[in-house]
Amino acid sequence: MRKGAFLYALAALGAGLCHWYASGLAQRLAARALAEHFGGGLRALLINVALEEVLRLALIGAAAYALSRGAERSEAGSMARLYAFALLAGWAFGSMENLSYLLAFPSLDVFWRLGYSLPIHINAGLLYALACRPSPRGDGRRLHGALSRALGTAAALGLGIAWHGAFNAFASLAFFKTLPALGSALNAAAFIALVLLLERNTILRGVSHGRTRA
Amino acid sequence: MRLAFSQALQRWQSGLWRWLALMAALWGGLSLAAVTSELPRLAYYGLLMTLLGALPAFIAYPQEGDTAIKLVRRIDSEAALESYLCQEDGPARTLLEPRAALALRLALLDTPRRQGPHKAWLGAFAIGLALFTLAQALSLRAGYGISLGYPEKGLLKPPERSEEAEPAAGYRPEFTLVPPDGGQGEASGRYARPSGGQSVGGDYAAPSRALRRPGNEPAEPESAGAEDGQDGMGQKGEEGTGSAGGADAGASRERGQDEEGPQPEGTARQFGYEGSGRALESSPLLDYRAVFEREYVARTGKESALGPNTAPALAQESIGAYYGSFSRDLILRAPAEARLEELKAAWLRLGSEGATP
Repeated sequence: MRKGAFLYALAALGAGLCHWYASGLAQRLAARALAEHFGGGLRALLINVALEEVLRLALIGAAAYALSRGAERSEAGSMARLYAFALLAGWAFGSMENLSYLLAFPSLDVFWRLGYSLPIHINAGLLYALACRPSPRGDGRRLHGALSRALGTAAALGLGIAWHGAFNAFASLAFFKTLPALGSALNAAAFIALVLLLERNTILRGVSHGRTRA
Repeated sequence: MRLAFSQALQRWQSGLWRWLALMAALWGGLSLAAVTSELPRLAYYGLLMTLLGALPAFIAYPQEGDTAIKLVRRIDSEAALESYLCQEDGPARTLLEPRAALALRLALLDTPRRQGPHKAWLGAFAIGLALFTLAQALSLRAGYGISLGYPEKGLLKPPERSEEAEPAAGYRPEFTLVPPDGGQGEASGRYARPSGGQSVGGDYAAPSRALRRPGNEPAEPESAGAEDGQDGMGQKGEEGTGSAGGADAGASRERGQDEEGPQPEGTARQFGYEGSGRALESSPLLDYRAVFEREYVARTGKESALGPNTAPALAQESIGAYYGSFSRDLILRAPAEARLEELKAAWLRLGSEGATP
């Protein structure tokens, strides 16, 4: 790994840690207001999830913007960088969360979080990377393009919140014995699908980039 | 696209090899460190869990740069395909098409051979296995047995009994769930003040049940130690976290250690509860067996060792006899919630004052 790529990976890990801290802070600050307005339970749980996912989308969006405005790089190259950023930031977030749970609940059951919880963060990051992929300069100025991107991003955010919220709700309110294994399998399937989509996207963009460059 | 996915598959495979090699190296290194030093149990499991969770990142980390162009250049030595792709629609593109199609067909026929893991990763894997084997040998020699996880060192350590912790001769903890004078017991275990505070013994009495947070930080675990009454004090002071998540938990843990002095992980200061069946802390039942072993050696002078048949049932009768004199009767009184009573009385007083004209 070259020096630039290494520093980029470190920055992505740092961004994931900042996201974890910011999410915890936002949830703590919002907890009292949520309890007053919603009385806890499922709605408060979903709003906590939404806070986390909105911050994640903001982080990925900022990275996509920086990549599209940064050094001259091919579209596929920028896409690959954003994809790596989402992957590492999601892993850092999920790992910090896992460690905090291990400190609070020192039990082997916490290891189930590797399949049930950690991939949620990674998958959501990859989904937002797919939605916020860096566009070539000038593409965003067209109204149709901007509108479709905004709609796509909103749909991705909705899907991310729904998936994360469903997993949290089942784990908190409707836990059953095989839930960790089932959730892990679902997360793994979603991860494989997202990675294949991203690979396809990167390759197709690479090919079309080769054509437009001539 | 088929070629592209075969290339991606190879990349994922090499990522998996890298992860396996690093995992083996870390596992071996941590096992050795755990046997030879006082590596904290939670640090061992925390590091292991973090690297286990890195599998998706290792497998799916994308290639630096333009994947498609790299693929094209790898399979297309005469640049037929690249020149075709670089052309806009037009007569030149039509002319280049047959050569590009031929290059693609040849590439599909001559699929790249599967590459094994790099020698460096194989070396890391071998080092990891060697470290793990060495750790197991040292663990066996030290008497901890073979362990895939953190070695159970607590079984061989003598109990740490300080003068302050030593109960008086007539002291029967099983009868003192609620101390009659309401002194020390009020600030500990189940009867701790909800806001937390320093108990008489110098321990921090954590709130008995914190509000569960549905966010990204875990709520405080419900301490089983508190259910064991007085025995929960030491554990609560050490493990109980006022706000259990993340950094708060760490800070609270450090605070507890500052108060009570350093103590190795997984060892209890006082007898009683140490952990549940699947907890990472050592089991109290195993500790009871170790106490029995020590007493046996002290009284008979015979060294006991693990034989070929180490089923716990064999020693069950002896253990039962040894602990048989322990009273199992518990006197459970209705909890005297002094503050609740005070609040009730205050409410009644307010009501009666408000009723008077």
